[in-house]
Amino acid sequence: MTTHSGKGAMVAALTALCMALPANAQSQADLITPVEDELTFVFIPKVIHPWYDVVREGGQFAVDELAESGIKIEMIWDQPPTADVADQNRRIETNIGRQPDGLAVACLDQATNSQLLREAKEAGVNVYTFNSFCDEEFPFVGQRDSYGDGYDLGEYLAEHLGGKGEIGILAGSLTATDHVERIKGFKDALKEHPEMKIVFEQPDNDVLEEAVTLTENALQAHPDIAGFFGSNASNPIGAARAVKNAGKTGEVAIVGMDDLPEAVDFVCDGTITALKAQRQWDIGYWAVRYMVAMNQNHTYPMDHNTGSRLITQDDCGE
Amino acid sequence: MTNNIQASAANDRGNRGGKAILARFWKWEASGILVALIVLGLALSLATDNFMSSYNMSVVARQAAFVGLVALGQTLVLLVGGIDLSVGAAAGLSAIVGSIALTQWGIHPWLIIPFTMLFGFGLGALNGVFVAGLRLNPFIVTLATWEIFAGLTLVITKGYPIRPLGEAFTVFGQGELFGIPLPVLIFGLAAICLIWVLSQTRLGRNIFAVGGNRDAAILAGIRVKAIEFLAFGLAGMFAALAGILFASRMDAGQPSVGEGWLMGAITAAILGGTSLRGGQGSIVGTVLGALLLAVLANGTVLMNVSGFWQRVIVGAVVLVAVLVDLLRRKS
Repeated sequence: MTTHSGKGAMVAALTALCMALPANAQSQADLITPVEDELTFVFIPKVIHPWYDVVREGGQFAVDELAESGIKIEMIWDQPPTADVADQNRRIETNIGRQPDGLAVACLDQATNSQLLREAKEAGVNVYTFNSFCDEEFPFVGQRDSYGDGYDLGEYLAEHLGGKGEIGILAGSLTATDHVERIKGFKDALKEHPEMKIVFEQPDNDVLEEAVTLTENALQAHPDIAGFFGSNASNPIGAARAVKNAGKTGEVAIVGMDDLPEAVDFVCDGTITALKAQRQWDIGYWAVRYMVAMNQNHTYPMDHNTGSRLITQDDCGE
Repeated sequence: MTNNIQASAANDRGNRGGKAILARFWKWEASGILVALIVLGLALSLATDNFMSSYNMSVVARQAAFVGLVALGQTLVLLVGGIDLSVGAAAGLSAIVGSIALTQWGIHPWLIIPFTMLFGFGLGALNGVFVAGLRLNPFIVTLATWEIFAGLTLVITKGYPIRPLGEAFTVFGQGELFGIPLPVLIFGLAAICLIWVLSQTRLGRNIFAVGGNRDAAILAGIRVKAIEFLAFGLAGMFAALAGILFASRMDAGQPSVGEGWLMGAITAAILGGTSLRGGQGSIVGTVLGALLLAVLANGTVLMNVSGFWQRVIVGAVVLVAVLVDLLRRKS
């Protein structure tokens, strides 16, 4: 009896222990760190550019939204005046010393940026990358499939031109991976159309004026040129200005990236044939949200693909 | 009474001594920049939390070191009355060639820096041949070679970085000795060597003489062409040293290395009191100039100054420094 009662007591005690274990173990909610102090997030884009103004708007929206739930954020934008790798790296280094709660970088140069972002992580800074993919080891929010954008625009242009004609490429910055990948995708798409020939390819370094000059030169050197591909947000505008000034609107097709207001105007007046627009507002919004998540010890995605959409004259009525 | 007179005389002597020291300091070409550097440093340490942190100090010193090394070479060229616009591109091309030598030609990591410096000397010597040998305008010659060097860098790399360079080599750019980054120590060592050469050797005196009055230097029997050739060669060599150290720092031979260094190098030298007409300047001034530029760039970021305004501020500081220099010369 005693034995039974002892066994019973032991079973009861074990059962109680088993039932109590989940309650005594750390609750998953306890893994979350509350944010009490103001957070400082530094964004370092590739260059001062209107494209990033929209990213900033998205980020500011998230900041305002979070303020309503009691999370205060100071969002600092440290923007290099020109797309200069050394300048951007200097800013990354300096901002590591500031010890922000989040450092978001649009990589201008994968190799050297990655080295400094590694140092930022080692210094205990939460690192996020946005817009331009850097390395698998850093979380990224943006349009990862730059190759796909280039390929889609190549296909669209080929279809528009009936699969033939001379083509010019405005190559952007030779060290920016997203530009390089888009060009690769564009060229691969054209390979399917043997009667399309690339006769011109020059880097404009993401400078609009250079894109205008290059397009003017290309129009002179290749009077039969049928279309241009712009690998970034500036150069379709540059190409459009040059084509319009030359009185060739509608005769020379232009495809390119992003939806800056002037580019969209050129789509609507028929100078630009199609644009592939990234959702940069979303990039800013989620970058802020994810850096807050990092500070709260939440999980966050290593790769958030914000995608892109095609804009043509059909969208102008909207 | 006698004691009072003696005390008053001692005070006068003290005042005169103080004034003499001040006057001598004011005469020194880098006096303005030193004062500016101290004032700026104090202001930033009061205005920001992070400026004086050891991490930030090492960042500032390292940033000053790369541009500073290029500026040392530029100072030599300015001292002989020339100018070298190709230094930034020479740094980039040298860094790429050095990176290729390391990763593809199998040269030992410890020999890469001297190899690259030699290559850089060759690039600078090319400028020297045209400027000293053929008496062509240095501005035009180096403008042309700038384009050639920058173009060759892209031809070789097609825009892609050369990496990884390996730990045995990256130690030179990433390592520290007594808590001081190695590039900073190398910069300091290079500056000390040049200070010694310029102040203690005949070569140094000849460099000043050639820049001060080329015709008089020829009449004095100085081998002017050899001095000019050497100055351009050394400018290329220091640029190459900066480039390869930067590659080591970043673990990548990056095609865009050195793009922004030209303006910084010339500005640092001018801020430090080096005359664009040659024959006047100092290495200490150039070092202080490079430090001031690095502090300024660092400070504008820490103070959250908009990128639009940063260039305006740097330009304004240079203008003020030049005006102060003008006042100093007139006085």
